[in-house]
Amino acid sequence: MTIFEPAFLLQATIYCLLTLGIYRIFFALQNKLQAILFNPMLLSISVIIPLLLSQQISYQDYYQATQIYTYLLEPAIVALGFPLYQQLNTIKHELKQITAIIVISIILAIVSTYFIALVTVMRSDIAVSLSLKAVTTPIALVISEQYQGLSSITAVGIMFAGLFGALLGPKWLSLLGINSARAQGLAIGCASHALGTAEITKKSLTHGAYSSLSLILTAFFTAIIAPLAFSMMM
Amino acid sequence: MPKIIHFIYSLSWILACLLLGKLLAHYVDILPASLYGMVFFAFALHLKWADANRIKDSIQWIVKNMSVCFVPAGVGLMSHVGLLKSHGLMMLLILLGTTLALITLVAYLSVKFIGDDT
Repeated sequence: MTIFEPAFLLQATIYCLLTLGIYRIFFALQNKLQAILFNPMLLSISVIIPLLLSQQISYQDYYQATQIYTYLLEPAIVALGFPLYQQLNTIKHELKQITAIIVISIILAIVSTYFIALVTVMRSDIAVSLSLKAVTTPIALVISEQYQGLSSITAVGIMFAGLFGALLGPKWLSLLGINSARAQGLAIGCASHALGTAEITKKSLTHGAYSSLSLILTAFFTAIIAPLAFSMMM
Repeated sequence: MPKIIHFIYSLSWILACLLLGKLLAHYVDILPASLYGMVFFAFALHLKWADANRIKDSIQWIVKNMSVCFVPAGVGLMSHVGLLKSHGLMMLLILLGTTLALITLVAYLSVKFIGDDT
């Protein structure tokens, strides 16, 4: 099927509107209840999967029909440059420390996740996939393929790292007594990429700025460090 | 909702930055185009090429609504039922544990070396 066939266009429109509709309902619900667990994305996913399964619609069909959302992701990520710009003057003076913190943290994270996964699941392909979970999807997929990881697991792992960070991260840090918007932003951006950044930017634009910066630095340094780490560990 | 004309203005800047990002990613293949675009966008605003006041509302609207774009990728979970059954719980625990550990480490180091801004 090509995108110019009327049948496909109709199907795409229905799936897209359905996805948007379900999302908007949960979005309104969350606004009303103000509960972090009513995450609209998470709830939409948990409604759409059973829906597709019960109607025997394959993921392939659904994904193709809703590809416009995947395309919209790119401009949405560019838009996160705005909070970054707002904090640029403050951030300039801290850039060295922030870079050092992120480099140390991702080295520890990649190595420890790799070995924990290797010891527990005992499959190096899964270990590679899981250890790339913190970084943005396009980068992780390239490295994952290069070192014989499983693309699908890499993608799903990234998704969960994003969800955990977005849903639990700020709560967890508050519990530990870390309420600094700067620390929270850097942490969520480093561990939970664009998904966590999108969530935490709703808290405050300071959160968003540091999270955006953190996700950029994490992406950049993972692209350099991960291949080195894997060739040393394997 | 932002004003339509401001939204078009914002979108033009965003798409221009993305396009530039695509161009750079084609030649310097380290980061994905969207992340290059994010940096260009921040600099365009910083250098006052783009008018931040006209862009602000649109950004708030985009940030509020962008999570819907992650939904189709998340639905992809449904095609990994087999692997999830055999290793799912363990993988989930590893992801949860290491993600929280990484968050804690970064937050702790930032408070220690940059300071607490609360």
